[in-house]
Amino acid sequence: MVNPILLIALPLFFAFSIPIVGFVYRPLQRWIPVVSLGLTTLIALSLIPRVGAHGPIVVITGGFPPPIAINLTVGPLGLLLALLIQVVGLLTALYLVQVPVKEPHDRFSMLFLLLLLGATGMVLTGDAFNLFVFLEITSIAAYALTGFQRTGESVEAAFKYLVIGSIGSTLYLLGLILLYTQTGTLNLADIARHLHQVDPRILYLSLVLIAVAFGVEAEMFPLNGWAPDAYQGAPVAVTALFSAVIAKAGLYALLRMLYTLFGVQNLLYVLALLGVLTLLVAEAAALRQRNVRRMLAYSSIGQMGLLMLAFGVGSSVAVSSGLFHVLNHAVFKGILFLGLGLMALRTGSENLEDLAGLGRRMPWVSLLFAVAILGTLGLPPLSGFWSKFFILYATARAKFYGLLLLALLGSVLEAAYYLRLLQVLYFQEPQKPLVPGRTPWLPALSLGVLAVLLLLFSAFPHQVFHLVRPAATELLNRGWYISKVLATGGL
Amino acid sequence: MNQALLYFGGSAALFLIGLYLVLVKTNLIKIVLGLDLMETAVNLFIVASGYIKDRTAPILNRPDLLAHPSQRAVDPVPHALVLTAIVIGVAVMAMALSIVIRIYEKRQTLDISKLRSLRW
Amino acid sequence: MTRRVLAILLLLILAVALYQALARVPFGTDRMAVSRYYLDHGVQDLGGVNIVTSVVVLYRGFDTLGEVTVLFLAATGLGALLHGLALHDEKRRRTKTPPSLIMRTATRILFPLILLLGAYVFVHGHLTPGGGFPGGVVVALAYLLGFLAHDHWRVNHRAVRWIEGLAGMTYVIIGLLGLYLAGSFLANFLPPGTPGRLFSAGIIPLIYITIGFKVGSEMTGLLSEMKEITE
Repeated sequence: MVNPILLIALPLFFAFSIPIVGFVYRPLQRWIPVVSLGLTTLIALSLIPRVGAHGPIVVITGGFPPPIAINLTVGPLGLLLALLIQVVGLLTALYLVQVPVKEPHDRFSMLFLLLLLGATGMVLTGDAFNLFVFLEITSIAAYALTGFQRTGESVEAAFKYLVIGSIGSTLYLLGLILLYTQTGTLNLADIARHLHQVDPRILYLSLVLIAVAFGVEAEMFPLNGWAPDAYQGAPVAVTALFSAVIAKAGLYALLRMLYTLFGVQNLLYVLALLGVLTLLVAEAAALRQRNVRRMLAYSSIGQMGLLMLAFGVGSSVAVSSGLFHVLNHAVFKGILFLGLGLMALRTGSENLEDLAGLGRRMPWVSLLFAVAILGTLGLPPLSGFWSKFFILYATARAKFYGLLLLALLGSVLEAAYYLRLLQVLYFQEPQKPLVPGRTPWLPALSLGVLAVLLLLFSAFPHQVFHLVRPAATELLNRGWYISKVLATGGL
Repeated sequence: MNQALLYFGGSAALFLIGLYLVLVKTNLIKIVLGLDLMETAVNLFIVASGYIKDRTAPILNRPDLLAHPSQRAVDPVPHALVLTAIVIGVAVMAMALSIVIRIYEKRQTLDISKLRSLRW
Repeated sequence: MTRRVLAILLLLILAVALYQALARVPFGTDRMAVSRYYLDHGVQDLGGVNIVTSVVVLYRGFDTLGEVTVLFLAATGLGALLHGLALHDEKRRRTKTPPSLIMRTATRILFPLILLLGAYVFVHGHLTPGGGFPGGVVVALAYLLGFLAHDHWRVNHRAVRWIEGLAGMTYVIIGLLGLYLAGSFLANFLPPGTPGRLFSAGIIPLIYITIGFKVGSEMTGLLSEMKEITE
């Protein structure tokens, strides 16, 4: 059996080895992220049958069972997200081999690997303080990558992100220590089990602190002021990662806290409400954007809002379709951001008017771009339809009619700017000539794989629902998670 | 009780002062200092929460300590946590300051109200 | 102005909430749960008398690996952000006082002693307060003193990066050895030895020496990057 700890240990080893490989044989350096992520993708794939058959794998570290030592909990939900992170990461790494970012390349590769490593750790760890450490790994890598271009805008965005992000993680630490003073343990399941010992005032304060902390990472309104700037300031491949996986890791942590640690099923309507607000505000802001990257950034935040609505409704249908939408959103936004990167290589700009007429001049990239847009809008044959439809259906079933109406309004706004984007792409005359050159083949391959995933999700929505159902069960079934983790030991 | 006020009240006060700096000040360096104060406040709280009256450090190098360690020593976990938190704080500070240096190089100012995209 | 009022309002709310919660946190009382296990079994389990070290390196060793990674990230991110930056401040350069003779002479004597102290701190991490992180920082302080005392003192960046890379890889390899020899990542695979002796506590000293090298090289790298942009 392959030990899931390798999902963390291998990328770390490779990240530490990058400077040394650079001294020995420089051209090898740029392939290290690809190799590392390829291996971790295989490992994550190989774990699926076992987790599917026997439930969560509790991986112990340091030789002692939880709650004495830190453990990883590789359950259906964690594994699903970890696999998503590895796959999207691998495709982005392939993209980056031929479209490198600025110098220093070696440092970029290290930051890139560690960003994904941090996100993987966040979704797999079973220890609350360890979650803080991985949160910091993810965020510090993200700050550095946001400012990596070293233009005025990107370093300002990085500063903004750093200030908001580190306030968030400080709040998380404070909330966590408040819980530690009451329960004397740091294991997620063990805290959850002893939650009744906690004084209610301390409990509510730490609930608010922790929810705010992960609300920042999950781009929840009104804590998402950093996100559009960071999305615009970062290199485009990193933006794809922010949208497709990093925000998801933050959302996962938020859900793990709300569902498993605190078990506040009765307060989840607040999450749904904030989700709808996030959706509306972001879609309204996206309408005004001239820069396509910023427009997509707001759209991505809006989709996070839709996800929060789904997980806030909290019924079994809502959570399953929310998880389906996580997959969809990752694939769509992966195609959109990476595709935009390829377009910008030829147009030299990411402004809306400069993309005019690309539908005929870059037919393949534009086609995938358009399909991803239609998928985000939820056009019926595409997979986006199924997830979005069932999220809204579950909202109606839960009798949140007001929220449903607002979410539909958000979708109308979304349709408005996306259809304008399509119109510019296909029906406007180009303004200026393209930079000569061909689309490099590795990025094209990445886009192709994402498109195949999109088609698979669209063709087999039943199977995808079947795939995510155990993950939804894990999230909804608090007692099951606690007993599985602590079955190996306990004090 | 007085000690509790000193440590818990002190860390709460430091935390609020730090947050005030971050929210109100317009100088980038002062904002970074505010972040650092918030981290320090949490670190102080962590250490204070591990203290147990009349007990010694959890280094069990004497036989009398080894006999009933959990009756004689303070909680070791907050010490371990604060070590991690300090190192992470250093890392965040290093990143923050290097970003500030870059902003200064690009914009020739440390005043946040003069930066274009930093209004919030 | 509105911002200041809003901020004060927010702080007041937070102050009340913090007061309400912190007043309920008992101070100075024994509420240990998992820690009780560490104190009672730490010495038998691992042979290290410094329980904080046992917690840091073994029971919560996975956090420490993450912590080392965070520091590595900071060094990497800082190097990336400051890449190619040169700040020229002519006025300051002209008015700067050069380091004095006392400073330079003292540094020459103190430099090896500080290095030795750093090494002592991280080698004895399982016996005394300290360990890899403080030890590494002490090592870096020796270099900081060198930077202050000699204007044109440089470290060999290539060597620094070799050390930090190798130390990091060694840490992961020790973890993987634990996985294959003792069944779980970062588990102890060496005998605990006699508590209180230098050669005891299993893999704790090995890991702390690795961390000492890594932290020392990283902090030195950070300091020298920060210094060199002004030259």
